[in-house]
Amino acid sequence: MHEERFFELLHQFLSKNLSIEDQKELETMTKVNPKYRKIFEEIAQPKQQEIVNARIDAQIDAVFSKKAVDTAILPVRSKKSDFIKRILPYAAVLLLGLFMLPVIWKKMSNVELNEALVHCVETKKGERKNITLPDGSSIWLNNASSITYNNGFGKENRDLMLVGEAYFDVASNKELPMLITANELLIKVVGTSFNVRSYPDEEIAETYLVEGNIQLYIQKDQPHAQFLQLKPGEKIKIDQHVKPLDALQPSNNTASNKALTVSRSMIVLNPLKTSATEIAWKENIMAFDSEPFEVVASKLEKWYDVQITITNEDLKKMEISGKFKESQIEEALEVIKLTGIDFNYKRVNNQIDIY
Amino acid sequence: MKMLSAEKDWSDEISKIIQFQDESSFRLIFKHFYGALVSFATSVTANNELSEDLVSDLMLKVWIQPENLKNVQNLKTFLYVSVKNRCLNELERNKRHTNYLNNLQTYPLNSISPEDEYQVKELSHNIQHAIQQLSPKTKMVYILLRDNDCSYAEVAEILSISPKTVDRHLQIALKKLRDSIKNYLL
Repeated sequence: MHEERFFELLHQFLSKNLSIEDQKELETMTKVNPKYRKIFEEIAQPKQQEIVNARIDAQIDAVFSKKAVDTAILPVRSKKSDFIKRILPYAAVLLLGLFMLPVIWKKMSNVELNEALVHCVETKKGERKNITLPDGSSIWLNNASSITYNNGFGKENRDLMLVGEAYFDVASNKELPMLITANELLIKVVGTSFNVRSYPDEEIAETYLVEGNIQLYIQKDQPHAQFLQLKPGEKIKIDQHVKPLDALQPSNNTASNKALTVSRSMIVLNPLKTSATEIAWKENIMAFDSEPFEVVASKLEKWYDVQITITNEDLKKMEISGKFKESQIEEALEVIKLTGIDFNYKRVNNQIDIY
Repeated sequence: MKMLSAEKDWSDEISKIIQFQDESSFRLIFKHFYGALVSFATSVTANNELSEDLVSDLMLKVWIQPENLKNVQNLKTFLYVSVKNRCLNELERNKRHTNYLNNLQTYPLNSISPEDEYQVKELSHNIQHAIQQLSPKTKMVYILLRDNDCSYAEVAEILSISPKTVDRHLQIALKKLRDSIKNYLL
């Protein structure tokens, strides 16, 4: 009888969720019953190895002395990064100019050739954009993605097509719902914020809803299209098993050959984090949540516009968690190393070998 | 009973280390975390010497390349995540050499009570043994909560699980520990 309550209190104590009354009750129980006192000591009291101060000092000195040896190599590295820092602003302007060229060119050619006046905004690898649409909706477009919409957008319709990943903050308009087509998905929105990730080369498509509500149709071309209603905080993952050949063919029923697995999960927001892993990218942060190195590498490729090859099979499976806000791929790799993944890498131009 | 203290924010020390290679700031951080990190690592690897090496090596990296800390939002959880990853990788490596089980046997039992009663000894021994038998994740949750002054939110971040899952692991841990001392409670 008491025992049940005692273990309940131990649970509260360990979860640091003990009210003052609970604390008094626990104190009384351990005072009255020596058995309980002993169990409390064993199970709930913090036990840390005593490490003598002198020993810690010795350890610190060891670190400092190792550092003295290592500084011989370091200056070279920091000089190099100084140089990169100095030329970076110029390089950035140049790159931006280069990236804009195809967009401008595409727009101009559209004006000439296409009566419907299709607008297309795209990002290259390593590039992210914030776009405001004619209806006031705002879209963050992640790397290597594009959205397409026609001239009537915001007046006759709110239809758009997405390839890749984007975060949507949709302006409210009940008469004119926004319809987003992304590969196998059709998403119908009235006004809300959410994230869609649907890259042609990735098997998994994801939709994560921050607020509002959206309707998601999977296998949109099929007569019995599945329909899902998302609640805030919910994420839908769709495993598309894309077959490269099918993707190239026109839409004669190839979709029915694809096996789609749909899984639904709630994202529990950690109070320490400002935003979920899913949408950290729009604050220029890369975030991973226990993802295998293999998957992380493919995301890094898009983020930094590099080619990554992992030659060690064991490394591919290693799980990585964390947030990065690094401007250079090398810096990001160093941070990953620092979290305890043991690997080496070699960079030749845009090819990075990890081993 | 211990009271919860507000978690210290180490941003001043970190920026001093980055800007001036300030040794006294590094000493402060080292002294604050070293023992706790080693304890946590030992609970995972069951090897004290190895754990000290892993933690020292991490601290060395922090000292040599403090720039990497610039973007770390929470030093405490960052250090624990790093130690956790290092430990798990080490375990992975050790598994192949079948060292792990041997180490479990030689793991020193902490804080055996001064009382000489057979029963009390057995109680302590049974609990220690039950802790060893917990699954790695459950054990990490339990040790982080008990010995490392972590909140649910911090444990959740360190182990990349939800606070709800943290609670479930704690429930499992307590159930197993309770089962291990059934006879004693009768």
